[in-house]
Amino acid sequence: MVVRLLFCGWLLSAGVWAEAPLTVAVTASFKPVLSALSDPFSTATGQSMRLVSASTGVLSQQILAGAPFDVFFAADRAHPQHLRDALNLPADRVTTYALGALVLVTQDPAVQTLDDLHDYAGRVIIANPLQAPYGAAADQLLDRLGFSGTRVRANNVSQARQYLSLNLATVGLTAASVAQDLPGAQAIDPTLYPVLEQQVIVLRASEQTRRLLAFLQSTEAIQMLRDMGYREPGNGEPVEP
Amino acid sequence: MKFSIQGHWRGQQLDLQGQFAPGERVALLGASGAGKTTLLRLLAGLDHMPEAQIDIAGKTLGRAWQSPCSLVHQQPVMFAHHRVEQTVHFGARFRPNSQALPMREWAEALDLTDLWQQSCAALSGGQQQRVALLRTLMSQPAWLLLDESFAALDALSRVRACDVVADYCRRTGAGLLLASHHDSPQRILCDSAYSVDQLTGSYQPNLFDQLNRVSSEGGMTTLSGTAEQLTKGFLAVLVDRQSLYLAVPERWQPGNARISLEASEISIALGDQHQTSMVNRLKATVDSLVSIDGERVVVGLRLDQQRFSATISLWSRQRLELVVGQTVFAEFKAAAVQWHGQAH
Amino acid sequence: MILDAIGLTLRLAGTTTLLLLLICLPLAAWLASTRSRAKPWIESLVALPLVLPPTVLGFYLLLIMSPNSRIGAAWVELFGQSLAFSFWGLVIGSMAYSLPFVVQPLQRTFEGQGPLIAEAAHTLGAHPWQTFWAIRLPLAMPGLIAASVLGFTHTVGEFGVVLMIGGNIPGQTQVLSILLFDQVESLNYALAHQLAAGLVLSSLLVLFCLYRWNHQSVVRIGG
Repeated sequence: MVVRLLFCGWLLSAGVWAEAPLTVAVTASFKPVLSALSDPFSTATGQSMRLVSASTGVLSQQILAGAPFDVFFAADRAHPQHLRDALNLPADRVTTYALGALVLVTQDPAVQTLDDLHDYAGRVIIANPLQAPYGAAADQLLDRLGFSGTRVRANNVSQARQYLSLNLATVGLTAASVAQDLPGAQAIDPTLYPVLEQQVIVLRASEQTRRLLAFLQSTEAIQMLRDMGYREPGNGEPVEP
Repeated sequence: MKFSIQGHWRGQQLDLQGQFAPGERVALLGASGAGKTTLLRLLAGLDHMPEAQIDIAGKTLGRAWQSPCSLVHQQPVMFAHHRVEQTVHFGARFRPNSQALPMREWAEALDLTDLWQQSCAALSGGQQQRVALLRTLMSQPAWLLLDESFAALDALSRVRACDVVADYCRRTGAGLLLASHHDSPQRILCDSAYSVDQLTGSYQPNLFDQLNRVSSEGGMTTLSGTAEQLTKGFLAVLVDRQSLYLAVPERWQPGNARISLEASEISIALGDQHQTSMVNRLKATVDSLVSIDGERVVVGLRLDQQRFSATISLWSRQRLELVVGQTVFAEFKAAAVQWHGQAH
Repeated sequence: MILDAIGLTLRLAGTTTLLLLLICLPLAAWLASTRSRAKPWIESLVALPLVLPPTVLGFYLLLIMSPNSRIGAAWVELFGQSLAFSFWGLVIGSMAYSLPFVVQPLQRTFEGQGPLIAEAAHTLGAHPWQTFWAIRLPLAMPGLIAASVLGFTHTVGEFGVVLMIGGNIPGQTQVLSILLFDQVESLNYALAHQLAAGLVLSSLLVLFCLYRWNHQSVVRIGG
């Protein structure tokens, strides 16, 4: 009996709270930023949000299958565009919320700067170019540098970080957002690789989602983006093709 | 072989001690569960009891594959991927002893020639027992341990298998320990006995002292004699200077032989003049009269040296007025005499 | 690319199966007959890859292969390159992952033989090693073949561990399942379909042959 009461209570509370907060789908790599912004956002707006995190591909599949997300922060351009077409949403539902940055992580004395990669014959860890935009950018950068060694392709930037932190290879190109605390990380001139636009798609337009996107333009949010290895879009940056 | 097995073993208190001369053929007697299989497994090195001391030919018993004792399991173990020929050769493979053994001759005697190329997996229980026996003989153990190894054989095959085992022991000088539910293999093959009763063992130098004592309650008595010649379609065997006749066995030769008499098949006559269809008629002296179960009497009968028994009804005894010391004639059919081989 | 991946996959599965058989035959024979107290522990360890997510296995393999660990450091010392992202790294990972699929059928087979088979051989003077080669192994042939087929197909179908430790290098560590995953993820469904259908069909065929053969097998255990 007590159990049944408790269970009803749990159902009720779940029902009550499911209405109120925003349900935000976020690609795994951007989750730390939104988590950190969660408290300032509710302080500023009185609004709370629930974060659902997975890889961009998985979240896209879930959205196509009818997952009840209000907004989806993807790690690339392709998936939000694809969702917009598939769900017949207006063009203005998709905007760029951040630009990713690539960093070189090196603990190998033979690789002091990016140009040393030209003659480097060892392994370089990158994310899988077929799946991760950072991987594709790194792949193109390596082509451009004339790198002829082995490209070890991690499944995504997090795995690339894992490989590097375990010293399984000494050189890697990965996202600045995941390489913050890796020793030997150095910034790369953003003009050397394609722009890494990360786009957000509003799935259920409302006052709440509008507030969330507006909050991301605030000084506080932009500072957080920069601290965590991203750049804010706009101001001369190429945003839309 | 000398063994002293005392102590706890799998929850039981064992007290088995004994000493057998090289080449001795010992019948292992005792009710089932008395510990016969336990003893055989320990002697074969298949089980290890730390307190046990087992010395064979002056050497301490090692692991099963080093043991000079080979056990033929009660349930014959077949290697399903072998043909009969392969498995018998497998027996000869790991103990390449000097002596060549008449493998094909024994195979013929065991009726295995026609099965020679068959898969071991396709054999019947009796066939498997014969194959397992031959395979073990080919490994030339100094002691052959047989645990109910004739159980699945019919009477004729059993006698033939005993002949083969006797031949093996004769050629190699190997000793034999034989546990058998049927006592005929023991009567054919063994001389001495080791009785296991409630996990305690005792040795009797003469098997028949033990086996024939059972016949004081009206069982079977084995007598030794000399096979002489064929007479009128019977084989004549001389026992204590009297001839008795039995159906001609499959194989025999003049010389030592054992025959057994079933007490209940023997009747007693007082005079030697009366006519009877009985083939056998032995003159004997009554040396004991023991009444059993109120209706029957076991009559102990003495020939020159050997004793045997007859069971008659109480009424017959009273009618004949039998007394100890009286001379009587034991009469029985030829079919009542069992041929128990010439292993000795 | 596909041919590279197929060749690599077959080479990986073959090498893994062969090495696993070498390890698992004595291990399974021992497990089947031992009364050691360590037996349930060893059995649990062997079965662990059945219940662990491949990512956990992959994670620990990465830790071991890392030069930060002693084993990883020793490997780098010996071969000048880390074990991760190499063919032999994959072999080791696949061996760990497919271990229960090879040990368990073998162990069941040896257990099915019972103790008497070995005893009978011992009484004929065959020591345990001779008994193993001449009797127990030939009698275990059905189990051996089942174990090989399961180990091989399981390695071919392996994904999670390779994804963790392989590095997806074409011709070196990009096996079929990883190539397939890449194609799906990059929306290249045509090639993905071909690969997937090929994998399904060939696995089905191999398993069918195994079960059919097992059904008709004449080698039975025991008497």
